Amino acid sequence: MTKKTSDKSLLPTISRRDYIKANAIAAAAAAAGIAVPASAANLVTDKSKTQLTWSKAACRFCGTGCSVMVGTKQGRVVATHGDVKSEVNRGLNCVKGYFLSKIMYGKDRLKTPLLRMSNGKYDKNGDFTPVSWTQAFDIMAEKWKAAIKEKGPESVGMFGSGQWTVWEGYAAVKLMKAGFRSNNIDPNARHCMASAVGGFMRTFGIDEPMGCYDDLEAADAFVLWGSNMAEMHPILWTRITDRRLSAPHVKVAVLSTFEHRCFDLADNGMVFTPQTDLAILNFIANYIIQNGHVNEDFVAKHTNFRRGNTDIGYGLRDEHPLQQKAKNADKAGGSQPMSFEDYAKFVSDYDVESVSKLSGVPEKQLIELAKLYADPKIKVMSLWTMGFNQHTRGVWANNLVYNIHLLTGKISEPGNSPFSLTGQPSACGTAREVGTFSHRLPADMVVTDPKHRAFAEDVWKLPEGTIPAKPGLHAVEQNRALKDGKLNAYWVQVNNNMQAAANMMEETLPGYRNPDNFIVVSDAYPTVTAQAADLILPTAMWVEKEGAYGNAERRTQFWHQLVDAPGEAKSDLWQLVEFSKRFTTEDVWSADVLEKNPAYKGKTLYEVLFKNGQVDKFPLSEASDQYANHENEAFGFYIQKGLFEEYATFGRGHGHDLAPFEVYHKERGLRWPVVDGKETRWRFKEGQDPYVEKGKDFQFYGKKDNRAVIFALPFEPAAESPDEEYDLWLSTGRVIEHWHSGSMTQRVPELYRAFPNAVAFMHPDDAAARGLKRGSEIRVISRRGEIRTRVETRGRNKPPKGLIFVPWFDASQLINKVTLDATDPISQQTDYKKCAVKIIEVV
Amino acid sequence: MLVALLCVGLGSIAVAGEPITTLRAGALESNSPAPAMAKPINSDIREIRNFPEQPPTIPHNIRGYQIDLNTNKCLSCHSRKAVGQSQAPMVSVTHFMDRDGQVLSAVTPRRYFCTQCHVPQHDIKPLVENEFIDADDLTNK
Amino acid sequence: MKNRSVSRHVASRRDFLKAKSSPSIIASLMVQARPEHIPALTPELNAIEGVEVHASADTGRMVLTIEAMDDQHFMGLFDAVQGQKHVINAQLVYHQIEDI
Repeated sequence: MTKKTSDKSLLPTISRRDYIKANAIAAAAAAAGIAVPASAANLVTDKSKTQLTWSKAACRFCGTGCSVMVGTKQGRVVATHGDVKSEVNRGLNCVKGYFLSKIMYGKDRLKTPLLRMSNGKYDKNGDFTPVSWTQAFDIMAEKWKAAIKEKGPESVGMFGSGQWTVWEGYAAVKLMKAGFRSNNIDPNARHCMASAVGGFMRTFGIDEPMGCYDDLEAADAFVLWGSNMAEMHPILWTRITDRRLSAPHVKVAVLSTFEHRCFDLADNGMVFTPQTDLAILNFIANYIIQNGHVNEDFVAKHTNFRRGNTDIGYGLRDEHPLQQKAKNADKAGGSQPMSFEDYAKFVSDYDVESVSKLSGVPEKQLIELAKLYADPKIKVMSLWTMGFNQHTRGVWANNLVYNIHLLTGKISEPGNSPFSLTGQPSACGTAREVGTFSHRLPADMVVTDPKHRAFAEDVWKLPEGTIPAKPGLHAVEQNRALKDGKLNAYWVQVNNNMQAAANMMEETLPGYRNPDNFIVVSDAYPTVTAQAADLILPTAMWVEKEGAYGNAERRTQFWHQLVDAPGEAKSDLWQLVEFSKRFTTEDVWSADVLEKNPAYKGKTLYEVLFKNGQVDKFPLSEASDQYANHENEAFGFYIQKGLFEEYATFGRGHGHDLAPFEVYHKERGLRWPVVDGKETRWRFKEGQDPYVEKGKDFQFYGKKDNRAVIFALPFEPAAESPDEEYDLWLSTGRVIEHWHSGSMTQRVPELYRAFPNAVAFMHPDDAAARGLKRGSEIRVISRRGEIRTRVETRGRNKPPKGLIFVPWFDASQLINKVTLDATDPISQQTDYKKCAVKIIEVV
Repeated sequence: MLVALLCVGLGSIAVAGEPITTLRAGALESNSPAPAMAKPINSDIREIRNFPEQPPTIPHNIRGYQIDLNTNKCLSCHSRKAVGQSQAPMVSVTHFMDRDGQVLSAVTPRRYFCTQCHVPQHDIKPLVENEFIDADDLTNK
Repeated sequence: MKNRSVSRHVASRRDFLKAKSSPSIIASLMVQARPEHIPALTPELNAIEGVEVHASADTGRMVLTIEAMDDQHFMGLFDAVQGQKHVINAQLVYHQIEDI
């Protein structure tokens, strides 16, 4: 029992002693006729002592984008709860959301910059030593300038995330693409959303879902394709549960490579062999055609058919045998037009018998699933996240699900909705809309298009030709280039990529520790990525700064700075803008650009990018006097508003319209395009979307011909499948209690105690066959690396025989030592759901 | 063979100095033994909440509890009618409200899956202390 | 006025509480003094280890707690309070023995 006590004492509980004392005091006070002191009162009647200040904020965790009310008192967050005024969550939170109030208070918050030093000097192999911000930026600027001078702008890079606020991501894009003239900036949303983006761009020519969360109350059927919403999008799952249990006709179908909590609500739960989702999707298209359920009018008016290139490789290093063998590795995204008849013939191979055999799903269940789409009377919502996106054919999977919605015309209407869920709080708002990808610019523009570059240079008031045309290194390439010594000055903000990127032992770790490289990591906590860095910058988080996130249904939400960051911690925005002061145009731009544009000579990047007459346009008086704003104090103008308004000019009038800045501080978010003060719930549909012309009914205006594309794409095998030696599939993923690699949630005692360590979920027969039982310590080994963990044969996930599931939140069990960095060749997103491993007991 | 060589090679670029990570011990390339699986706390002693809106943690083991389309095991003790027999705390009145704040006669379907908010705890010491301060303690400061 | 409460807690909780080694008596007193003496008297009383002043009123009444290891210790502290200059009267209001 002693053990229990020591662990109890860590809870912020009132002790038994305090409790008795309070009673004692209260009794004496009553006898003395004295008001009971606050310390002893059961009920504090002095309002000034109990009052909290409540402000709205967006949740810090997933892409659902719940609004939370944050209670502050004496400069600290003391409570959080679901915002009843929010359409998204109507007063609910998941367990993580309810514990938001504790995420900033881990005892190990970083409060001062730390530089690896020996004998008072920077040393890659030195110990982390506290330094000032001036020293930190001195060494950083020295390393950046040296890299650019020696090897050019392609030797510097940045890795950010979908947790950046909108203006932080925007400032980062400007600093990298326009300031350093390097497109080597990518977000960790590459690991999460890139295939969804690829799917949208390929099928519709414009990113992000056409529908919205209102579909959840309007649909008659829900199909989960590789999404464990019960744990990963719990609040949206409450809306599906509400719908399913309130309306008896509603059906829920769940597809996954292992059984998880969503199966508890499933009318049709299907466990399929990894990668065969592609075949199931084609089977449904075939079923719709064979049974005469094609919406011929819709298909004729609003779609085109194309045959995509096949045999496109696996996004591995060029010298990898699988890449050598692939015919179309260099033209993965290519396609040719085809007829409906040819398409029908193409999918006719995917009949129920062969697909059932390939996928392991019984024929009856496949047909039941297909009927949800085929029956014109059923409004169906498809939902997916990492099962589709983290897939070496992730873009294809996205294209294929759109196919079945387009063939039946079940799209852009309440309840008829193919809906791509997102993982990070601002994967949409920042990574995608701002365009922090290596090939992108704001509002879906790309660096490869000269018109888009010219547009951006015009908005940014920069000389023609400032933005480089060549896409930069994406996430996986960045780690490879670090290892190869091609990328030498590297800055990681708001993410934990040492833990999150695949194939840590062969790529990430050797890359960060390559003596040619200088690695900077900005974080609130000492993560494993920080451990691998050379310089760590302590960072303000969440409501320690004014912020904006954009969720999965195109909803942009703002919050104010509610408390101060501890110690010397500063926001990512302050870090980016302050660092820009360290460079003049001469340091980073080529001489010929400056010769042609002498007005830019001698200016700092700060002056060129941020004090440009636009970003610094709004005075401090426009900021709220109710809330502090550290960045405003530091720079002397309302920088968040300036950045937002400049950014918004990219999308206004181009289908990405955002409302004026102030509106978002009042509303519980608005869904873009916001035209004439009105948000848009269903895009591409006349009467709902202001961009659809009169009389068109539907208009897929992302494509020049206003038609969405139905793609013929086949089943192709995974990059690595189990064999005799490595005889099990490994799928990684998350648990409800932890998000973002556990860097915040593992520091909340209640969440840590709920799920303290990773385990390998496996089938009891697989365990028994290896002489293992629940709790046995094992090594999970792949061709690339291994970890030590324990066997779990019961609990929330029930894998079929031949597959294990290991969550990746645990810093002490880095499962990405084991995973394979195979990616989708179109989206460059890693497949974290499929590689081959073996298990050996630790004896 | 290549894999083995690379792993050996990593030894030479080992990260110098003491690790600063608080959620793991040892160098990044090392694999510590996996800790034994922690025991679920099964004391039935209620923990106080950090603030009033916090969903209480579950002070007992819920192994094998079925919550699905057919049944909800938690409600067999915590429902309004069951608490007379079970003496368990009744689900709060907020759980009877639908999306529009209307009070229903039974627990709302949107609150059906209890473990989305309420989690059991394990008998294990947190790796990192949390310095959150209860609002009441701030009052009394 | 004496209030001797008995712990009603279940065994597991009791065991848990037991593991803390601290005083086992908690009591509260009502002290009468002249109002003008309270500012000087308060720090004097607080200086006694185990004694704490929690509130006072302009009527001259004060609320104190005593935390003691055992009966003997408690009586010593009680006498110390009563013996303070300017303390007119000290009255025991609440007294609890607890395995804390």
